[in-house]
Amino acid sequence: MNEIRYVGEHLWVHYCGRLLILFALFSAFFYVIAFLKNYKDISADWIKSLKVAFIFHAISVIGIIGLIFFMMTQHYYEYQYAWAHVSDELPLKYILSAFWEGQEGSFLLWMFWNCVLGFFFFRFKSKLHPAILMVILGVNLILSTMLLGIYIGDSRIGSSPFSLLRHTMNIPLFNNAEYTKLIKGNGLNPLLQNYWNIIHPPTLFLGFASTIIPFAYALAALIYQEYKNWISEVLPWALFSGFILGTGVLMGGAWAYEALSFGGYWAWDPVENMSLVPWIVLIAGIHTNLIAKSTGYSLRPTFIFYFLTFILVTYSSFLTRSGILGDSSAHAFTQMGLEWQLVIFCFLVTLIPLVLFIKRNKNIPTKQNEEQMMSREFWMLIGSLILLFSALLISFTTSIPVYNKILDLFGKVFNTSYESWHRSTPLNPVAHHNQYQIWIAIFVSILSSTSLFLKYLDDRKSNLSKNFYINTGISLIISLALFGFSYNSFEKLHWSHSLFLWTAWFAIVSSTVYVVRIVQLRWRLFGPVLSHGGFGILLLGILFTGINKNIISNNRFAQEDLIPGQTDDELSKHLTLIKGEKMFMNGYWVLYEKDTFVLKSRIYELKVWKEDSLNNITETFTLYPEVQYDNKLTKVAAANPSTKHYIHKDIFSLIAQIPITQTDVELSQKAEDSLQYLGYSAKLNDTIFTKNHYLVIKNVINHFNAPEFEFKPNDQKLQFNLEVHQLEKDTIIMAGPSILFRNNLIYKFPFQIDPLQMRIQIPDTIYDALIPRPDQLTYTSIEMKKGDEIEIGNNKYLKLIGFSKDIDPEILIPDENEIAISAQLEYRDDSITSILNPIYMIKGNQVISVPVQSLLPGISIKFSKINPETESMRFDYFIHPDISKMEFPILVSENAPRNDFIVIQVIEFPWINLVWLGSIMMMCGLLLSSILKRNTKVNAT
Amino acid sequence: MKKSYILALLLIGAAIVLLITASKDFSTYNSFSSAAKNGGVVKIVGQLAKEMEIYYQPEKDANHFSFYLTDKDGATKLVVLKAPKPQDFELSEQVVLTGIMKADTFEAKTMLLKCPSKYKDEEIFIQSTTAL
Repeated sequence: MNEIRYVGEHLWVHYCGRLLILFALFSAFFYVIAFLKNYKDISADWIKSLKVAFIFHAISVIGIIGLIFFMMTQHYYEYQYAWAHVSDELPLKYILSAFWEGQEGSFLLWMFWNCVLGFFFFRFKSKLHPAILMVILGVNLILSTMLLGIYIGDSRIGSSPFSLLRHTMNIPLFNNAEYTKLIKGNGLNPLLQNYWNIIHPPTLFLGFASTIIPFAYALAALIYQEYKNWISEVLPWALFSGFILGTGVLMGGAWAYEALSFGGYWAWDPVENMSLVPWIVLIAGIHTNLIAKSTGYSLRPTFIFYFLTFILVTYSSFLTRSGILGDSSAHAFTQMGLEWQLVIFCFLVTLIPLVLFIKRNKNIPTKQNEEQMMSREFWMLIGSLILLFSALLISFTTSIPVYNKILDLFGKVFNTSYESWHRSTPLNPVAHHNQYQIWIAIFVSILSSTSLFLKYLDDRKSNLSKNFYINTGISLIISLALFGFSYNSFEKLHWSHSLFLWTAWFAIVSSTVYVVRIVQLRWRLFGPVLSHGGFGILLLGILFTGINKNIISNNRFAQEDLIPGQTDDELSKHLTLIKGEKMFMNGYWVLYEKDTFVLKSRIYELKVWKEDSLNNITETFTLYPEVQYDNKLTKVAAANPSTKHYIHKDIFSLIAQIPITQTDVELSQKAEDSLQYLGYSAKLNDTIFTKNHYLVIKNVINHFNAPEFEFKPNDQKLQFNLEVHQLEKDTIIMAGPSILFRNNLIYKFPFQIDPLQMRIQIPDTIYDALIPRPDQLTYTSIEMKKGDEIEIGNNKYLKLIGFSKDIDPEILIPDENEIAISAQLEYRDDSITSILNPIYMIKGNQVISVPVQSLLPGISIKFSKINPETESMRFDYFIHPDISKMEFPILVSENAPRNDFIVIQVIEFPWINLVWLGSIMMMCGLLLSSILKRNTKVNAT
Repeated sequence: MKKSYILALLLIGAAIVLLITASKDFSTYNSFSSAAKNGGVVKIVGQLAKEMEIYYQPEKDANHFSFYLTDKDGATKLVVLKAPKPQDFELSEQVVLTGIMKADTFEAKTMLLKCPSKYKDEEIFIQSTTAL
């Protein structure tokens, strides 16, 4: 077989990229091995080598990323990664989003952040730092194997971002040596083309990556048996990690709420759950870390929590990247053949700390006497354990697909099928998770509030318990008062929700009391206040939004008239709106006023208002939900909500459905094909009787109705102007269907009258009806010079304007020994002026005339001779019979589906701003603490 | 016995009880026939019967969408979903439904679609075919 020599590929990117991946892999490998050989006593020479290895690794990673960006911005579509994620049309600002759309890119983002974090430990200021860098590079070593894309036997290791498209698929296109000219990129999923996808992934990945620091500190502490200093060194890092991971998760919720069609900020989707779980465990770890720092208790739990956090991060990446969640999650990555590598990653990250911890367990210092009941350290530990419960419960349910996979593995081993044992995720995941997490929230809230008033062992004094009772008492009274006050905002409240409501207030009030009575102006203690108070506000927001969420988009009276026998009211969350007709929905009036097409989106304008009993408008606003089309503009890819924000509520709106003709080109064509048209024919001003209407063709004009259509010379356009009358009514509706002929192509633009469910089109047979057959043509010749105007009939004139050598390549492409020229003739009569472009061509000594046969004005014209001596041209023309005597064919359908409606969902979210405020306060608290703890550490040294 | 041991035992006990109760929420994958026997809300996995009618006329009822699904035993039944038709429904490789079997019709409450990955060969887009 002949090897094809491909043209136009940029293979240097491929070779450089693979080389850099190998550099990254081996430099990380070198560091890990060199460190493990010498960790007991690293000589100055080895320190130098380790540093060089790290720098080398970081440069390689940045180089790989740079190369990918380069091939993406240069549109090197011979690369699978560039082809799959970018396209010529993709704006440059989305290159980042396109970069981390694929698994390879997101692994690289993770490695990049690891390198950035590594630089903070690069100067080896502490004894633990070389070990921390070893852990970071160890993880990057595993991650770089995911990018290898090499085959060992039949199994592939990793998936290279530099693999060529022709290696990933086998299609006839690659028999063409110049295939690179023919392909163009797929482009970024339109759902991901928004600013959230520029800021959310890097934040979340920095969050995931940063959990390696507490993990690495804990490992380093075990390696060097250094159980004291690490506890205060790691704390600002753990707090930072809590801040950034929390912010990442929060951004995911905000994105889902603001820009996606979830209709909420949290859906207990597996992918969401598995980003939340590591954060919860990290928060537990931060609290035991605080205990360990202040009292020396809870050292072992701190190790365990920090290990577990990173283990859960790897487990989470296994779940979301292996394709295992396909049945249960709406937005996991697709399967890519990396499953086993990810499993090995999880096992390594679990086993290494476990073995080391068991080995060192005896040496970890423990306090002799136990925690006191009335101490902060005791209740904080309990709180941390409850957080662990929360994480355990969420992961337990989210892992169901994993249990099924394990059963299948056993089935393979024992050669039986355990499929009957398969389970699926709960039918109602939101209710399932909520029923447990409510109690977690209640316990955590009570514990975190009361333990603020307790003291650590070291600075406990005699009169503190009295203060504890006073502070708790004040908080209790005020929170109960606020609870009573807010209780009436709910229609009915389950007793567990009532308790939840009170604990939310209790958390807010006790944080306030803590500030007033204990912290006062010592702003260094503000971190926990912000976090704990924020937690209370978040709970309050969750309750108000969750319980009082109100679906506005229903109108039972109107719906009952429309759909007989509809019983399940609860599921009727959607409302159909007809353009221009106002509709009442649950307290609001809504009017679908218009829609406009901008770039790839159709934006709808919905006027919403409220009226009091006297019909005075009390509240008015406009919503702009939109649907977004795919990159080829052939079908709807996503619906983007629009939300009206108030301080105390949000009104959220989403387009659930639009007419099929606007949804999908293919389906629209199918619908059009299956539509039943009846054919009629009539002369101008004759009446056509259809089933329920009668129509009159008033006139026929040279026009094509389609918006933003790009016309070309010699396009033959035709439009009917019709009057449509309803039988027994005197309303007249004007209709204007049109048609366009271009060489062999026909473009139809039917006219739809939605209220009548009528659709009118001009059939292709109009061409044969209007254009004379060749044997009917009797040409008349005229000689013209440039600028001449000749009367060719009753008030009909032809004027020769000029010539052009630019000929539409779709009509004719002259080759080297051909000369082609087109004349510009202006036709003019009482009603119309039109430019006609007949073509004259010389090929050797042969003359070819391409005639123009125009529908309107009805004329055929040929450019048949050039006389160089007199500089005159000969044209042959034939004026078609007068259209006023002709029969026009027309197609009419009277059961066309309406095209002027949308189906919407509108939801009121009361007090959702409390959710954001509370979460942001929690994150600020973590960040503030992180910065302050860092400062105290610096001050101490 | 130390206080912390009692605490640990209590917590482990609580964890076991919680996990067992949580696992009661786990649902099983049913077929149409087992769903009819069961009578309650169940989860069904199957494939869209593409040759059968897919009915959705939002201008009549935006919350009524029906289609035929073939379950894992090969039985094909009518499914009614009281919600608008999702995008890309026709492309779905697998449909996961929760709902109740009533007579010969499955009344679905929620639906999750599994669509083909974008790494399929047929999606390659060639410039020359774009010209009309």
